[in-house]
Parts: sequence; structure tokens; C-alpha cells
Amino acid sequence: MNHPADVALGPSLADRVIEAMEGGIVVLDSSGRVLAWNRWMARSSGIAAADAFGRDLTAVFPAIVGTRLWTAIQDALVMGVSGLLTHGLNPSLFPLRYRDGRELLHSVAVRSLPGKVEGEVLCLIQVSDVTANVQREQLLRERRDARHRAVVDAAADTIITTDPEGIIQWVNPSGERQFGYTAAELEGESLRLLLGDDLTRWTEAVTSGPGAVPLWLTGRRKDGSLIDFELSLSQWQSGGRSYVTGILRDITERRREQERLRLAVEGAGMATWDLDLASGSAVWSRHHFVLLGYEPDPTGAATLDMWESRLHPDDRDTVRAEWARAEREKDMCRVITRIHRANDGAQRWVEAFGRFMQNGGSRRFTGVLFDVTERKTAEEHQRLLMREVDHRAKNALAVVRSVLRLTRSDDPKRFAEAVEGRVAALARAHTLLARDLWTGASLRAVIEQELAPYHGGGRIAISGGSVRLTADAVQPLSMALHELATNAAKYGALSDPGGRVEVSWQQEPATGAVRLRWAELDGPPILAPPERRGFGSTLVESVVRGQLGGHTDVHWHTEGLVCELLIARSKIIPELAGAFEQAPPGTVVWKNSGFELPAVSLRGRRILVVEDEPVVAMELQQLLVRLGCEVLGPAGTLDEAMALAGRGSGNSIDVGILDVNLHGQTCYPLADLLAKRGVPVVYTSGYGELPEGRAARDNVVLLRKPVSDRDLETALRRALALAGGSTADQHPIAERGLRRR
Amino acid sequence: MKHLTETQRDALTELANLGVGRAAASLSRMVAEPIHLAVPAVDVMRRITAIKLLDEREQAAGLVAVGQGFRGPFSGRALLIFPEARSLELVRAVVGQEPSLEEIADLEQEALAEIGNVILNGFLGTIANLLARPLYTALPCVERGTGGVILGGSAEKELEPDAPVLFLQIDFTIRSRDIRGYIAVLMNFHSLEALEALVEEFVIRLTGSTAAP
Repeated sequence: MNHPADVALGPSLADRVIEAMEGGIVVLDSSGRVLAWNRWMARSSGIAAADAFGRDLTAVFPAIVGTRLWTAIQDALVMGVSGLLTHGLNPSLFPLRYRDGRELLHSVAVRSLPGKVEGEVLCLIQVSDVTANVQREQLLRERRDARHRAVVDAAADTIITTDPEGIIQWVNPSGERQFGYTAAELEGESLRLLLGDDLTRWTEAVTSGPGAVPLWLTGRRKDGSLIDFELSLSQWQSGGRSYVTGILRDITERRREQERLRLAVEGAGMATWDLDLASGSAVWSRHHFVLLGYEPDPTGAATLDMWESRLHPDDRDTVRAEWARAEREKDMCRVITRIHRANDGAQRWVEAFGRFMQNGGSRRFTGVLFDVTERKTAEEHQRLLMREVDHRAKNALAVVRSVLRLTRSDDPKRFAEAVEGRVAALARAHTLLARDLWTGASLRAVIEQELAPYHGGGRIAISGGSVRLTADAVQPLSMALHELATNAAKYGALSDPGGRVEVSWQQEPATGAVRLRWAELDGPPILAPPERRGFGSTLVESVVRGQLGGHTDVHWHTEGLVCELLIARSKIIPELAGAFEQAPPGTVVWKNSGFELPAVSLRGRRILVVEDEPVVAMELQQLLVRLGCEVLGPAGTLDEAMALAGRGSGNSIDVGILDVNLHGQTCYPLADLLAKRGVPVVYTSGYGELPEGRAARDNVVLLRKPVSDRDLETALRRALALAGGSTADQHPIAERGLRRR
Repeated sequence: MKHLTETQRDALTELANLGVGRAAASLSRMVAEPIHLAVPAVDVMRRITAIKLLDEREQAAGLVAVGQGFRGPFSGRALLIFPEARSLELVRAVVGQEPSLEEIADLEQEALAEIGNVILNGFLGTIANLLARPLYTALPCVERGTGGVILGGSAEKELEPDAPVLFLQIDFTIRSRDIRGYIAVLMNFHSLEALEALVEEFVIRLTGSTAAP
């Protein structure tokens, strides 16, 4: 301070105070020239008091011209108004610095002072240092920001901030990672780069405000691949501007998981439902609509009534009861019920599993539904089949009992023979029926099967159209045919090498009944009808009348017996209309025809017996011994049998009787060995047929178990004949005790 | 208590709007954002009434005021008053700062003083301009408290309860935010009479019925 009046006295107290103040003091006269400039001001501005005195302030600080600071000074000088200019609102006031060169942040107060002369107005400018305050607040702000940044940087979700127009302002490291762009590449770009057209959903969400419903968006990575996101948004203000920050959670994997689950559910033919118990409104999967015969609703909207109205009336109470039980016991609800499809009314069986759930405020009933019609049908079939098998078995046993009771013979051997033959016929009928799952059998098959033991030498001729018998007719007819065949073999045409049997049938157009004709030819001449009726003919007559709904006509012609059986139409399964009349009559002549049933002797034949069932093996052995054969074995296993066959190679084996199945092994390796050596083979089997490749061979005879002596004998003769061997002793057939009536 | 005539009230409202309009222009320049200020109503009332009105309207919430004394043809103290939360909002709207710290910081308080200073200078300055005589104003300072604390109580402001108050509502529109505040001008009767004379003169000048001296 330098004031002319005070020079002699030295600086006044006021001057000394001003000099010492920790803050800038500047006084201007009414024309704006510097009157005072304290030490603080000199130090901070770098302009000495001597250099400022008397100069216009605009000359000292040319930059202030036109600023608000200058206006405030003018106002103070002209109008006497005081002004405050803070650093917060006025970042640059005076060019002030610390000694070390740092910027000195300050606020300025401007006020008018009355001058010494009346009416003179001065201007006082006070400058205060706010640098420390500013720094302290900045520090606080940075610390808070650092806390926020730590959260944002650590977040696994993408966090993006945009302006309301969707221009990206900032993106967190997860966002860089997930989208494959750097923050620098993204900032300033439109969010369209990442969201494509889904950007509109972002901006819409902004305008409609923060919603409770989460948004789903699809984002595009830099490499072009897609990511599914769940988006939550918030809008905020800063510096008077609006910003939108979105948190994007990657749900690609979750989506994929849901899709896989959906595929699994749909692939398994399952339909799903989700019912809101309070409102009765439901959401169904597409398949649910289809299953109940409705047109699928794209939104899945359905009602409880749409389900209940489809229920079979008889099942409604059961379904409701199970529902109530499950709800009461908080248990899984499981029902199997019939429904009628809405579109075609077709009945289907469906199974439903459901569970009650408390989901927030709403009680829900959620579950899956699937079509079990196939399963129910199969179960029903199975049940019928079981009943049928049971019925058949009981029936067969009853027949066997009757056979035992009715078969009359004083000779135990003949009694056993007769019973065996009849039971075998029953077994064959079963085989046929089992092959066609108890649905019936073809008439031809029944006849062929019953006459199989006699089929050598073209002696059997079978002709007739295609006729199918009902299941319950098969067994009686088999029995009847067995009796006729047995009789023929004992006394009739089949007892003579030159005899023949012709079996033919035709359907009577008028009644639909089938007339089967059994004619024996070229057998021993019949001189008179038999004196008494045996059980055989009684059986034939009774089964035809009782179980085939027809009757028998028996003619004792001299050339041979002719028996006509009438089978009622009810025992015939109708085939395609007219098929019977149009079918060309077919004739089957047994394979290997041309052989006479050879009059070869079995005596002294060496027979290899292979049979894993000891009782059966014993029976076979006894039979063969009785027939005068020499038995090799019996062998119970394939190894044992192969060893026997190997050892027996020195001595010849005439015939091998081989059980097809030996403890799970087939006997075929042995059969092949024997075939190589030209030894004929008789197979025994509990099964119906041999495999195609085996049956086609020439030297093969198949005996179905149970085996009777007669069958065995016939089979052995055939086998020996097939092998062309008749080297053993010749015996007249008459010796075999075949007897004529 | 003497009441303003309707014409006088209209004229004062007009004057007040002119004044805050000038302040708005200054503020807009400062922050480079459009700021609108408007005074929808002016009235003269007893101080006790003004206190009651403030406390009722603002639910006795804490108030913040920027006060500035003035001296000239009429003298007194002018106060720009806000509810405390609103004052923070006003500063941050003007400064354009993030809603950062929970409490008003020193610098924000200083800025509030400056904003008050600009508005009150604009208002008082316009009236002084009409007189074509200087109206000296003091530097602003920030006060806190209830209506009673702000409009009276301190020794400096010791005035009778019946002392007149020129009371104005002032509406701010800043960055699409609306903030309501008040201006209260505390005067003595002499100053009020001077103001009334001034307003009368202004009315006559406006209507052109009498020539100005």
C-alpha cells in the first residue's frame, strides 16, 4: 500500500493488516485502476504491487475483459451491487498459481466501497483460495467412484451406459469380453452395433420407464455370433444429462438348456401344462393341444375347462379324486384316463403327472401329459392272451384227461401208443396256434402237420382253397385227423406201401361250411365195415359234431375208407370276399416223394443217440432196444457226442438221433460231421421247425417231441431209406406186426 | 397492514419478473444451459404471516436461504429461500454435477450463495435501475433454519412481527427440472412507502397518465 498522505507516518495499521491477509485483496478506483494489491495477490499472480499500481485492471489481466468477473466489477462500481463469483460456477477467474506452478483455484467476492470523496465509489475485490476444498471433494468423489468401479469391473454381466439415443458412453470389461470389442471401439458408437434392431427395445424400455418385466435381447459379437441376454435397465442424470445403464446377463446357455429340455419333452411325446389355480387359466405346450385334438394356440393360452370337457365321463370322478388327494397330501398327482379328442372324437388313453406349487402369490398346478394308448392296447392284448393261454391249457388238460379215460385197451403197450399219439396231436395243434398267436390256423397247415409222419413216397395228396380255422377249431380237427391217420396206418391205406390218402376240401357256397374229404385208396381192400366202433371213430364223430359244429359221413368202400367231415361256417374265419371260390386248388405232394416207405430192417442198426434230457434219452434208448437197434450213447452234451462219433468212426453209425438244442448249443456241428460221412440224421426237437438251411437238406428227418415209438420207427426207416442203405437184414413188413382189419 | 392495490401488485409482479429474467439470463450464460425463472405472484404481508406461510407450505422442513442486505432509497434484507433438499437439487442442476455426495459440500454451499447473489442482484438491481440511483448490496451469505429463524430472530434482523415483507414465489426451470422457491424482502415501513411510491411512479410511467419528475 502506498498512499501519499501516509508516507511520513509509515504504513497504517489497515495497510499492514491488508498486507498480512491470507487471501487476495485488490482495490480499484471508480475508473477501474488498481489502488491496492496485497502481498498474497502479488505472490499468486506473479505481478508485483509496483507493477500493478495505477494500472487499469484490464491491462494487468487482459483476459478478464468481457467475463462475468468484469461485469461484476462494473456493477459494483456503477450500481454499488456486490457480487460473488465461485470456483464451482466460474472455473477461471484470475490467472493465479502457486509457487511450484500448480494452479491456484479460487473464488472472488466483489463489492463497492465508498471513497473518501462524497459520491466516489471504489471496488474491493477479495480472492480466496479454495484449492484444498476442491481437492478434498475430488478425493471423496474418486474414492466413491473407485468403489463403484470395483463392483462394475468385477461384474460377470455386461454393463453398458448410453445416452437416451443409444450412443454408447461406457462399457465395463465384461462387456468387452462378451462382445469382443474394446471399450475404445465401442464408445461413441450406436448401440445398434451390438443389438441390431433390438436397439428399439432398449430405447422403448427407456421411455416406458423401468419395468418389472425383464427384457430379452439378442446381441451380436464382433465375430458375428449371437448371444441371448436378459436386460435390466436404469435411467439416471448427471451433469444435467440423462443416461441409461443396462445390465446384460448372458442367458445363451440357459436358453440352450431350456431348448434341450423342450426338445427332450417333445421328443418323448410329452405335453406340458401350467395351470393357475386361482383363475383357471393355463398355458399348454403345443403338443398338449394336439394331444387333446385342439388347434394349438400360439401363446399357449388354455383353460381348465378345455381339459375337463375332454375327459371320458366314466373317468371324471377318478381324476377329480386323485387331484383332491394329491392337493390334500401335497403329493404327486398321477392319473391314467381316457379322453376324447376335440377334433375327431377319437378315444385315447393319456397319463398325467402333476404337482402343486406355490409360486409367489399364485398357486399353480404344473405337469406333463402323454399318450399311453399304445401301451394300454398292448396291456389289453397281453391280458387277453394270458386268459387265452390259460383257457387253452385247461382245455388241453381236460382233453388229455378224457383221452386217458376213454382210450380202451387191454394191452398196456397199445394203450400207451394210443395215448401218446393223441397227446402228440394236441401238442401239434398248439404249435400251429402259437405260431399265429392264437388267432387261428390254416386248414392246410393242420392237415399237413397231422400227416407229416406219413409223407414219404407221394402217398399223401392235399388239395383245397385257402381256409382259415378259428383257434378253437384247430385242436379238435387235429385230433380227428390224428385218429383217421392212425387208423389208416394201422389198418387202412397207410398200412400198405402202395396205399394213398387224398385229402381235399371245399367250401359250400350255400352254407359257407367247409366239407373235408378223407379218401383212402389202394390200401388193403375192405371187405366189410368194422364190427365195432373203436374210440377213434367215436372221437372223430364227437369232436366234429360237438366242437366243429358239423357232422361226419363214413363210407366203407372196398377201395378204402372215405370220410367226409363238415365244418360249420362259424369255425371258419372269413377271408376276403370271394377268395375261396377264386383260389386255384393247390396240391401239395411231400418233398422227397418217389421213395417207397422202405421195407428196411432196423435190427442190428447202430444208432447214435444225443439228448440232453435224461428221461427222454432213457425212453429213446428203451424204444431203440425194443426195435432191435444197438444204441451208441446216449450222449448228453455236444462234446460227448462228438467224442462218441469220433470213436465210432471205425464202426459205422447207421443213423444219428440228435436233439437240436443241447443245453443251449445246437447239434449242428455233429450233424455236419455225420452228413460228411453219409450218415443220415433224425432231429428231435420241442420246437416246431428247423431253420430254413437245415430243413432243405435231403438227408434230414424231423421228429417233434414228444416222440412216439411209431413216429420213431417211421422216422428211422425214412432216414435209412434216404441214405440209400438197406444193408441190414431184410424183414417183411408184415413181421412188424402191422395188421389188417 | 396496508395492502397493495391490484394495479400495484401487477406492476410489482411485472418488475419482479423483469428482475429475475435478467438473473436467468446471467445464470444461463454461466452454465451454458437455458434456465428459466418466473415469479407468478407478489404480495406484501406481515412478517409473522410470511413465517407461518413458509412453515406451512414446506411442512416445517429445514429451509436454506441466501440472504443479502441492501441499502439505498429503500433498505432492508432480501432472502432467496428453498427447502434444503431443493436447494441441493438447484445447485446440482446449475453446476451440472452428479448427485454424488449425500450432504451439501462446501463448494456447493458457496455455489448456492453465488446463485442467490445473481438472482437477488437481478431482482434488486432492476428496481434500483428504475430509480436511476445506486442501491448498495452486501455480499450474500447462506442461512439455515425454520421460517422463523430465517425471517427474524437474529439481532441484526430484529424487526417487529408486524413489519412488512414483500413476498414472492419464484419458479426455476433448469434442465427440465422444476424447482420452487421464495424471495422475501424484509423492510421497514419507511422503505415500504418508498417502494410503493416507486411502484406508483412506475405505473404512471407505464400508463403515461402523469409525466415523471
